Amino acid sequence: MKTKSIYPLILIFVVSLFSSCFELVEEVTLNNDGSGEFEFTANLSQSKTKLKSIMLMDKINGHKVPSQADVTKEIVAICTLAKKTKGISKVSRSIDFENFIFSFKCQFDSVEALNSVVKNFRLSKKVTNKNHDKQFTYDKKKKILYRNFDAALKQEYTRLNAEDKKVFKGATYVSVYRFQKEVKATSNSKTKTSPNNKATMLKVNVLDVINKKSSLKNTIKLK
Amino acid sequence: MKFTKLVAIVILLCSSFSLFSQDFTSKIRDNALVVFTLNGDNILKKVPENEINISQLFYEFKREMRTDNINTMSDFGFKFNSSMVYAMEVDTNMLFNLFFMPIKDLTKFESMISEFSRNKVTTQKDGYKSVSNKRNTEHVVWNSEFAVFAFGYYTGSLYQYRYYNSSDDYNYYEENKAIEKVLKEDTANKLTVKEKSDRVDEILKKGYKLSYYDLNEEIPGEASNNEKVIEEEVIEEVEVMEVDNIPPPPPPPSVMEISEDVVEEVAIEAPSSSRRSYRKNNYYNDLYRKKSEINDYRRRIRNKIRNRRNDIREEKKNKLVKQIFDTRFNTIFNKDIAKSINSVSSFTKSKDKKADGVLWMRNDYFQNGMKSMMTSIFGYGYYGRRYRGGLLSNSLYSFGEDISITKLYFEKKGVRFTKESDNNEKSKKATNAIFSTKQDSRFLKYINGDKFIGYISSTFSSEAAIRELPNLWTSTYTQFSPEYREEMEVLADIMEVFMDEKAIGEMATGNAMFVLKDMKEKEVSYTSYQYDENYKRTKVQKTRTELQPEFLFMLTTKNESLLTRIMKLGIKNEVISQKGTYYTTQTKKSKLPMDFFFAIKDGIVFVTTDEIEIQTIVAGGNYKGITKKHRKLIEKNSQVVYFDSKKLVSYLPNESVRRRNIEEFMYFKENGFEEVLMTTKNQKGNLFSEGFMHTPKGENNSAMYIFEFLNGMIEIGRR
Repeated sequence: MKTKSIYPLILIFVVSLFSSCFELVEEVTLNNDGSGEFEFTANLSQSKTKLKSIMLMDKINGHKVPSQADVTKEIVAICTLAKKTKGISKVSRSIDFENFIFSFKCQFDSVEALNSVVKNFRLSKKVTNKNHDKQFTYDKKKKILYRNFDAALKQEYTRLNAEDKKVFKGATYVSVYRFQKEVKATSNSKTKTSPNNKATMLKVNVLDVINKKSSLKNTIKLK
Repeated sequence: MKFTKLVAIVILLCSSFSLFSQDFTSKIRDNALVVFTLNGDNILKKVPENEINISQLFYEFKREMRTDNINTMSDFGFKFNSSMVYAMEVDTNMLFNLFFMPIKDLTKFESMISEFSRNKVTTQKDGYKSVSNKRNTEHVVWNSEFAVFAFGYYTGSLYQYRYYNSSDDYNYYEENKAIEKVLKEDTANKLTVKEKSDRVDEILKKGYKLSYYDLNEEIPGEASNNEKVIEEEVIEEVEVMEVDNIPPPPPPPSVMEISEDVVEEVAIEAPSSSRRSYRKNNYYNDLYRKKSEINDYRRRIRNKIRNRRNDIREEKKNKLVKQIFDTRFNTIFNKDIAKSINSVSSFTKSKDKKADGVLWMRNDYFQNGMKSMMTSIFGYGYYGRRYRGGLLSNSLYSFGEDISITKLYFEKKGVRFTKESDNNEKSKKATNAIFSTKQDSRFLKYINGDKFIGYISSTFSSEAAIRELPNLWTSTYTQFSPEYREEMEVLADIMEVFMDEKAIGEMATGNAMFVLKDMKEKEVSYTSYQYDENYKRTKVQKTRTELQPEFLFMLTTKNESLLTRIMKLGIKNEVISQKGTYYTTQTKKSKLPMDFFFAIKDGIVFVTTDEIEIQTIVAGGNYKGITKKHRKLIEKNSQVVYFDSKKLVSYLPNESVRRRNIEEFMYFKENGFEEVLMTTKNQKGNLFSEGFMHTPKGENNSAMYIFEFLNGMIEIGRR
């Protein structure tokens, strides 16, 4: 009788007790000249007990569990890539394994520079799909910020196994954009505009985005 | 006196007849690796045939088989209330899988076979009929009393596919030189490609011309005495199983052929910047084209020869396989086997009328048999994989087991299985040394009655394990890779030198117990965000409830001082902190999902998730102690795994299951097994394991319970 094999089973049992949840926050502060500040935060704090249990394992659902060092290395690599990108400055990061909150912050001369970071990251991972290269477009003359999003996530999602799919249950994505000028109109019906008309917020469920019930796509016209 | 003798003879004849009609084991050779006997009579008494006929399970089976002619079990024509036997036999050339089924109604059976074999031709032989697949690897063979479903794989080495076996004496370097020579001789380009190829053969002093075989079916060097080999290979009764040492896979095919192109391509693709190099390039291009023409011509003929060789090899292999099968069927239906499996004492001892199923297995040979089968199915691709499978499939408990016997009983109150091993002398010695310890009885007083979900109790001598295991691993590993015997022995010695078994044995004797006490809801804080009216983000602390396990782990130590020093080191590095007389992982640096509390007291290391419990332990508080039933189990066995399945499953949140499976999950929660118990103990160097799964209260027939449970699951699945 292999009692040895019981221990990982107990760990898996423990892991299955904790539901997972995470929130992704994208914040852009856009100046009139097209420059600005970008911050992206992944907050997995709600699932920290589960993540701490998972971090004790070698593998879960057939995937290798990255160590803290692996995760840190990956975030540092993104920061290094951003620092090397023309038009990107003041790159900073925050890594918190106690609460599982990770963030990346930088300043940009134009949204094109931000797009370059995304593209360079894609190239560093040898991904050939160019669909995500242009995340933002800013038309200075027309004073319109375009948040582009045309990802066919459903197909990728369908390929995942049932256990992996559970990760997205309850996950949210928040986009907050701040401007120096007032907002005239937004295209995404789920967008809220602040009382001072200088900020917008879009909060959607990740699963809805995957299933195309919601989208991050937005066109924000400024006065 | 004479009359009594006569009666005795009649009784003996009757019983031997009934044995003959039902006991197929006399038809199984003594080189069998696996024999599984299913006691149909026992099972049908527990789950009657008429119940099966109207069950969802049978309905599903009929649906899968897509037949209208089978409406009841009896339509198969089998005698289900008799023993059915499966056997795996291996000899030098073949691995046989034989499934023996008694026949009740020959007409029904033959009509079923005719339907399922899609009207394949039935061959009438001496004493039996048979239907086979095209490659002669699958057969159904029967007479009026019983049928044998047989399939097998050729495991011999003579006809195994090997790239270089089917290739001719091709030498790239020699041939390339010869081609260059021919091209130099024929600068005017007057020779045809065939003539050039013939000239290459002349230069290489081959005894044949490759072009000759372009239009002929004949192939070079094909010996006509292969038929003789076949005759020699058919061995009727092979007593000792030998599995060929299959050499490692050949290097990837066609490398040599590809490389010549690559070499040339590199040469012609050199950058040219002047007229001279342009001319030079042209020269190389032309040379390359001419060489390619000859090469392509010769390669095409070679491929044809190679394919033909493979076809011939395959034909011969199939012929041999057919012959071997025919010989085997002849012994089953027309002859008595000189040495049947019944001559193996452990097999005869394993027979048990009360058991519903008995699996007798020659463990070490079984692995070799599986290895041969896998190599035969997957070819050389399996060669690398088999090491992994072989080593991983061995645990401490199956090292050196010669024979294992597993029995299954569907009892009134639950399903029981037993597994006994028959170890070799070396393993017996090691098992005795490792598994002769008793569990630390002091553990039991820290458990509160039977207020737990489950526990694992384990006792063994860690000192003996460290001393014995390197050698056992060595002998197991070298079974798979004898070429590394020396290296493994040196490694075992090094392990012995570096591992101080006495010191380790003192630190952790090998007595340990894990008790899963409860699952409790706990409030856990987490960070989230809130946004002001202008969507400025600020961090907020929120709480949520999570279900967390409560457990107690105990470990005996004889070296408290060393462990205390380790704890102090943990405090120094802020991995743990001290709270009076106990320790905790409640530190900033903790990477653990929940808080743990430790204490070392009276030679026992305690680890728990419950702070009150650790405080009670260090204060010398009293517990009720484990119940008598479990105490007995723990005291008598080396390993005990017990869990209340129903209790355990009740804690699993419904959200952890996919929505589409929720009904099945709820059904399982309500109707699944109750307690599950597994024990292992040492019996004179052999390990004896026993498992018992309790059926829910009120059930008095575990076979019927499983049958109904499966039917319920199928019904839900169909909704």
